[in-house]
Amino acid sequence: MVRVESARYGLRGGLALQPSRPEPALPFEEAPLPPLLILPLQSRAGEAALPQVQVGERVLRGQCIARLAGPWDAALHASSSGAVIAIEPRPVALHAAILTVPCIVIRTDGADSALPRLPPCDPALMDRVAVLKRLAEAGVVGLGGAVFSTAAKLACAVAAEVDTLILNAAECEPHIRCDEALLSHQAERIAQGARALAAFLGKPQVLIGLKETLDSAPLEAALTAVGMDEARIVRVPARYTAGAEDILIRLLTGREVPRAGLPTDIGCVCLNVATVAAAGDALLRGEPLTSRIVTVIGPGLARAANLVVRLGTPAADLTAACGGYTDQASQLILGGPMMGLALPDDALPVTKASQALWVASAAQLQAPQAVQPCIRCGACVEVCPVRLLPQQLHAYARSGDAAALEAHALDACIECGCCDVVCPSQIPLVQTFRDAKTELAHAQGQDHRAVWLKSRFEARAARLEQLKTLRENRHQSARDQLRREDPRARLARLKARRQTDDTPPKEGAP
Amino acid sequence: MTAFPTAPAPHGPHARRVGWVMTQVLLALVPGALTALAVRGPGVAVNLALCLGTAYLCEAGALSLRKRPLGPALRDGSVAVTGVLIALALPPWLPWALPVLGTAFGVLFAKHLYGGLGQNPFNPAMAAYAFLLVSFPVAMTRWPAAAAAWDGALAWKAWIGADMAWDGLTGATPLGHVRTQLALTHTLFEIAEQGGPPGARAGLLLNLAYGVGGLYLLARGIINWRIPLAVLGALALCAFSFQVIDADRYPSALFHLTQGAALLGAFFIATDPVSASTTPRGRLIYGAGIGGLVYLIRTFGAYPDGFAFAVLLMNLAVPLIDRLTIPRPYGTPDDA
Repeated sequence: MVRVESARYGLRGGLALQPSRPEPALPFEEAPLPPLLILPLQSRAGEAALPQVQVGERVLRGQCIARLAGPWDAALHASSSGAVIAIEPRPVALHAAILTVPCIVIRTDGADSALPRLPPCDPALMDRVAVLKRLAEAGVVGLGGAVFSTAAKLACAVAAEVDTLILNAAECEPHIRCDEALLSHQAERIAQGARALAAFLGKPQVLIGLKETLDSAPLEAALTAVGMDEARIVRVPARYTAGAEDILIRLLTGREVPRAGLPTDIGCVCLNVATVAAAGDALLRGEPLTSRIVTVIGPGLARAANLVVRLGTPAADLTAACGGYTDQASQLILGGPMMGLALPDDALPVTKASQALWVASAAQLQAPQAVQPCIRCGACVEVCPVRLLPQQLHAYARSGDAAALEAHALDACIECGCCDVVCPSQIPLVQTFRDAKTELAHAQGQDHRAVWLKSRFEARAARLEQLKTLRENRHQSARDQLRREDPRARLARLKARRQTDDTPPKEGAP
Repeated sequence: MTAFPTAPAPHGPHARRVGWVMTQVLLALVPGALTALAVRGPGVAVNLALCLGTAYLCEAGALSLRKRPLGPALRDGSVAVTGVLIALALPPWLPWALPVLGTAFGVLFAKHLYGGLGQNPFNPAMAAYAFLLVSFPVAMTRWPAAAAAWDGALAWKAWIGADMAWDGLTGATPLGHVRTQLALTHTLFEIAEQGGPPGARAGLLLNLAYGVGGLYLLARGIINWRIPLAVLGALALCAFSFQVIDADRYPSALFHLTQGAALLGAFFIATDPVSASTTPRGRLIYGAGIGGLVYLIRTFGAYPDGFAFAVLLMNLAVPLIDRLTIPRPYGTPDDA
């Protein structure tokens, strides 16, 4: 039997944003195939992937359409069959902003014909490089919103010889309920993925951080069915920030990820349950990542549902699948109320990072209020999950005191927004901290660049100096040799030389 | 395609407003103010009116001199809290100029000269009280006896500051009485035999009423438990320790906790967020410092009660306390 237990370590700060009892389940359906798919070539800050197809080319579901150069970078696949009609810049929700990035646009043909599946790549039988390669080729990334390449994360975990694999099913932000659907309808995918990854990592302890309001029975049964009896399901509070990677790791293991460090530094690797399911599909069934579950919810829609959505589906197709907008529709938010991104229109596509589409009513949203001075009430300190002093950080950010910002650990801020929503003075704290971080990084970047340029200059000067000394030494020794030589012997040598080859004598010319 | 307005995250839920917080504080002061009115007479209401009026006038004047919008600052209620706290700390039937002068000092000097709401290092109400106590020590320690407090003619004479014989019309506060009697080498046992300090019951009632308001603030999450607990804990611990040494000369912890400004101070004055420490550990240190200083001033100082001075002294220490008690952020080793 799989053990189900309560979290042994406490949760600090955070906000109770969700009902403490289970919510009625949402319908779980496949979203209709959209006429257009918009697949961005960029998913994180950094390089854009290189297209592997051309405009006009016919593509099949699961066909790789773009890839990056790095060995563990995730590839991008066509999520249905059709024709590539454009490769052009389009606005896309990336991380915390709407950016215009190159996208591959596919007009679907409705047949949804797929490439033949790849052969299975079971970690119990295959070597580790093959497994990582498969995960990267199948386009598996963190589906909890971070979209970091799972192959890269696991490569790091293998190198660090982690002893703990954590599955994140804490789902702590309101309106985001995609993992809930996965847990109750497709728990076997999670279990199979977990077993494969545990085998890959050399049988670490497996901990599953499950939100306490979710039913653990399907997952327990699925884990038992695949022989993962040693896995432990840990119930975590239905409280906001419990699902943040660093916070969940502490909640489950008591270990803290070092600042500017990685979970692998403390022997942990943490993956969202949806990521684990996708990894299982890639390894055991040879299926690349072409769809994900998205919660489509809110009073601005006729009905709510958890939909299995092809990546690249425009938001409008999802709201249409949920009966269209109601009069209450006020804002379209990709994600939840705390970290979600408000979309300017519903033509923007769902990406691997999209967990929920929330059509909020005006009553659910915070009306913009005038900012008042900080009264140092400390409400922000009480809710900060990483024990910062937001009001002090705010004061130092305003005065631009970089040293004080560092002493108060601005870099440890996870930008969860808890301080922001409890502030009675309506100070946009998270925005202030983001700006301050950017400025600090910029200033440090300039510092680094200056130091780097200076060191390069000094190295060059030293190199030139060394060359000069060498040259002078050589000239000096040549002159000394000439001076020591007998004049008649020298004349004879020069003559002999002129006869053997026509090259002019060099010794004399300084 | 449907277009939507956008706004940065977080998108909700609704936060409290400063104005709401201040309204809750004023609401929590109602039982205390009513009790004060009952035991000290209508002079309390006169002080309230004078202090509130002066506070709003000075706030408006200072804001317009500083070319700041009046509306938000006057609506946030912070100046009302300052005015009410000053009024509740003053003796009734004080010559009218004193509440006006004190409040003006508090709002103009202690608050706006430092930059207004959120910028003042000192608690404006306590700065005003200390200013009056030091400048007008006689008037500020003259508490009308029960009969005089309700006598209209006498009260009017006192209020307009007329020259008058106060003999027999004033009574000492319980803290003052004990202090005087101890100075006359009486023991606490003897004081108790004579029926205890006069007005001790009124003092107890008043403190209980402020305690009720304080518990309301705690329950609504307006104030944090750390500062009141540390203030009262340190005061009680000091009182208990000295009582153990010599019960004839040092009153009990219960007496200290229920007399003078103990509960008003612990729940409403020491918890002023702007001038208090903001770190969790810092709040304990700040509160304990106030409790300890109050005991020292009451027992060994020149004043029967010492809340204002204790708070102002600890206000001075806040920047240092805050700096020394930065919590260990997540992911940082203990020794860092």
